[in-house]
Amino acid sequence: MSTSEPAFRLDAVTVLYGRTPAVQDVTLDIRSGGVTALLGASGCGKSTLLRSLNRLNDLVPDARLAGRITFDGQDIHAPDVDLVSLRRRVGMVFQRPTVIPASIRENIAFGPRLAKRDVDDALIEGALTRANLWPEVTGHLDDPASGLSGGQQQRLSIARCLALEPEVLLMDEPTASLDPQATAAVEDLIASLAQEMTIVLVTHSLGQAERLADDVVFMAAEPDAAGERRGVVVEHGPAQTLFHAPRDPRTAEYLGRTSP
Amino acid sequence: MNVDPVRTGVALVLLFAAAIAVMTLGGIRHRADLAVAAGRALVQLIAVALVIAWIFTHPEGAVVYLSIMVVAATWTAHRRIGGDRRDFLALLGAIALGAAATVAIVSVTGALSFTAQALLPFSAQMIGGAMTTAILAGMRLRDDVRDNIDLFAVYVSLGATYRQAGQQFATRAAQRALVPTLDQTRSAGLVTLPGAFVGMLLGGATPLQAAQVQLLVLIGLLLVQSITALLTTRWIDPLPDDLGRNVALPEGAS
Repeated sequence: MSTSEPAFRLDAVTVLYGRTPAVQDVTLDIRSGGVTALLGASGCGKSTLLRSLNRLNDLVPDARLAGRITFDGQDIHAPDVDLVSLRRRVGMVFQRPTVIPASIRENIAFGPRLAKRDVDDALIEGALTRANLWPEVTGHLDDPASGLSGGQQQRLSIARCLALEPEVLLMDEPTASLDPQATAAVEDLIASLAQEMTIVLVTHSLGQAERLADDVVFMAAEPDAAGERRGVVVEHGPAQTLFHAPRDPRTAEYLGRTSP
Repeated sequence: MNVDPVRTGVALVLLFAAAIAVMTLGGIRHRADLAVAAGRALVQLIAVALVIAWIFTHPEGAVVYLSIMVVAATWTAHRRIGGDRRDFLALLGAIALGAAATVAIVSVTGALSFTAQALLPFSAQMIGGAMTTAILAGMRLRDDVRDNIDLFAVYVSLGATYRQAGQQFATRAAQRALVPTLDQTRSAGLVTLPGAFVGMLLGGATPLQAAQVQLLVLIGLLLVQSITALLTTRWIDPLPDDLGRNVALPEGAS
């Protein structure tokens, strides 16, 4: 992926569940490299938009998408798109840590094995080291992953993605269910990974977005003409600009700052 | 065993009338259903008896009859589970292979004589068992995937195809589909007398002969259902029909 081009380009994207739009008419570019935070209150469509980026909304009943999303220049909904390749290149970390019901080693090996890559101890150690988990699990690789703490499980989820060497990591409120200490560990990890890959992070935490984001997409749930609430992008841009000089009063209100 | 058609008719009328009377006295509102069910059973069994009587004198017809049964079993399972033409073919393979493997062993060993009279009813029971298991296994696989869609999404997000992700749920679904047959086999003769056993006794066989045939049926069902459950859960699309489709609308359709 070229670093000068955006990682994702969204053009008039609307996502519907049945006939109800969850996200309406989103047009924006998501930068290649660094952290782009999708920020906003609960229910404004952040996760829906995130899951559209590697087509996980295909697994939601009655989900429909209008508009166009391109990744690395390719329309991800084109009939000839290789979904497996897309999802290997665009990894996903979910809000709730969900480990594969198997050992720690098997959790890491699952993706590379499907991709027919060599799975050796170096790969396992490398992925766990990058996820800052190796010192805590060394000697316990064949223990059930379900025995790890919530924070450790979330870092294992990240390590599992890293074993596939993705170009992008989508992270859906990855610290939502973690305690402050585990949250700090995951945030440190995100900051370090952002040096080498593109991260799109869903969060409703202002502090987390301020600490981690290079770009911010601020979203809100707004009623349409019929009174149905759907997520819209209020504004987006560099984090410094958005946090210190928001253009839209709705952003300023969310940030708790004086309207421009 | 001699079956007098007149006495059988009288007994059937009395049984039917008694069932209607009990339902009426008990205020159960299914008398029309009972009449329809009894009527259908009467027509279907007479028709089947005529067909099988013809096959007994024309054994080459057995292949056609069993083929129709396999297709009908597949159609029923497919209608219940859902899916596309590929799923239909998967179910056809799972049901046919399970039944064929079991009938082949029984035939080759000579446990049942290589005649239409022996193999036709045995094969029909195997096909019926395969259909039941295919339905159970297929529905349980898709229910498990729907109930655990977060875990399914994890597999998919790690580069698994939908079928590869479904494999992670397949063994458990197959195991659960075999539970009724295992229970039936375990309780044979204790909770109820199984159908083949009763039929053989009514037909004049000794209890030992009846037990011998019933064992062939029960153990045969274990094999046919093991094969069918494993193949069904590995061959059908694990996703329910409303999941896993490209969500993109045609341009201008929003």
